[in-house]
Amino acid sequence: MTSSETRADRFVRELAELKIPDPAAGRPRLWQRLGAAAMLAGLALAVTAYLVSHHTSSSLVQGDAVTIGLAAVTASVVGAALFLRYSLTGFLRFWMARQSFDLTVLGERLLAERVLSQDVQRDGAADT
Amino acid sequence: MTVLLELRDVRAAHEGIIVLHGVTLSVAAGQVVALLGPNGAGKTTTLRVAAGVHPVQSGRLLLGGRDVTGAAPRDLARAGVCLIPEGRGVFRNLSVRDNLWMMTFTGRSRAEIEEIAFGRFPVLAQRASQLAGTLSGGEQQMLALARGLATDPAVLLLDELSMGLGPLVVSRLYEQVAEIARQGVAVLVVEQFAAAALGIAEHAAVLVRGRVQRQGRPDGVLRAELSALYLGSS
Repeated sequence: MTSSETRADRFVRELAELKIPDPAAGRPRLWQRLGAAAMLAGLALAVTAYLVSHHTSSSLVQGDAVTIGLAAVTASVVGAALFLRYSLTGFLRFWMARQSFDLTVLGERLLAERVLSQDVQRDGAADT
Repeated sequence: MTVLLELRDVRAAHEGIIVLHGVTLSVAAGQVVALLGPNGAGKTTTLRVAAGVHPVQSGRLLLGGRDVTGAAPRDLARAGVCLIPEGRGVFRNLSVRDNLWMMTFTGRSRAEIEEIAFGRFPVLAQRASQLAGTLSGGEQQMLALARGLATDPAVLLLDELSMGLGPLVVSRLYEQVAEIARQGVAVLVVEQFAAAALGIAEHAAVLVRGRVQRQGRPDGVLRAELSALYLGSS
């Protein structure tokens, strides 16, 4: 920033540099869906691994089945993490907004009670 | 003058009902623009669109010449767009000082924020330890403005600054708004109390049922049209 730069110039410059993500991309929803898909894929892979291992006596094929089974576990874990992360975000955001609202309401009620009790005390003092 | 805020043919809706039908207006650095109109005209929605809080259906929102349509409000706020909503938006159960200190998220120190706030509104210094909810309406509005100024805004969006306040307080607040604009801030004021806003605005737009019915310098013709709008033409 130069010393002669006005706030307006700085605003224009900073906006030009600002990386604004495209909201149309809807990334959170995409990640949530990917997470769900990975969980389902994990399930399908686990069943496949089970079937493959039980329909062969070849240790090589069974080795492949173990690999598929491990991939299934990985896909399920990663998928569950993604799904929870992006589904919980929305819920927690709402929960936080609700908490904030409740706190404000509580604060206002306490404040009103305090002001009221101060008024009552003041009136009492004035009467005596 | 550099145009800092521009809405081009913006259409926006509330729950599927179109409330803005192609609103176009701009605010340059150091300029105060008053957006006037009767209840339900879409004034607040226009402000919310400008702050990125309300999505647009079509049209464009430009800040400093850059198209930021659809950008997250936090990005716009970080860049220097500040919306002071109707109802002041102060934390009533916190002290004046705590309200101000909350603005340290901008990276400014508490001392700097207090200097800005108390320098412009000395009455807030006297009330620093008082709960914001116990301040008068005018003082709460000063606190809201001070909190906004602490963000070092380049674009200031004010919604119904005069709501519930006496004319004297309103005129003092608008003096401060004019002073803020003189420092190069682009100010868009939404107001029902037209006289106060027109007193400092260089440009005014009249919004009726989501359409800019007229805009220009706040001259006699515009004032007459406003009177007709509010009171009904004879």
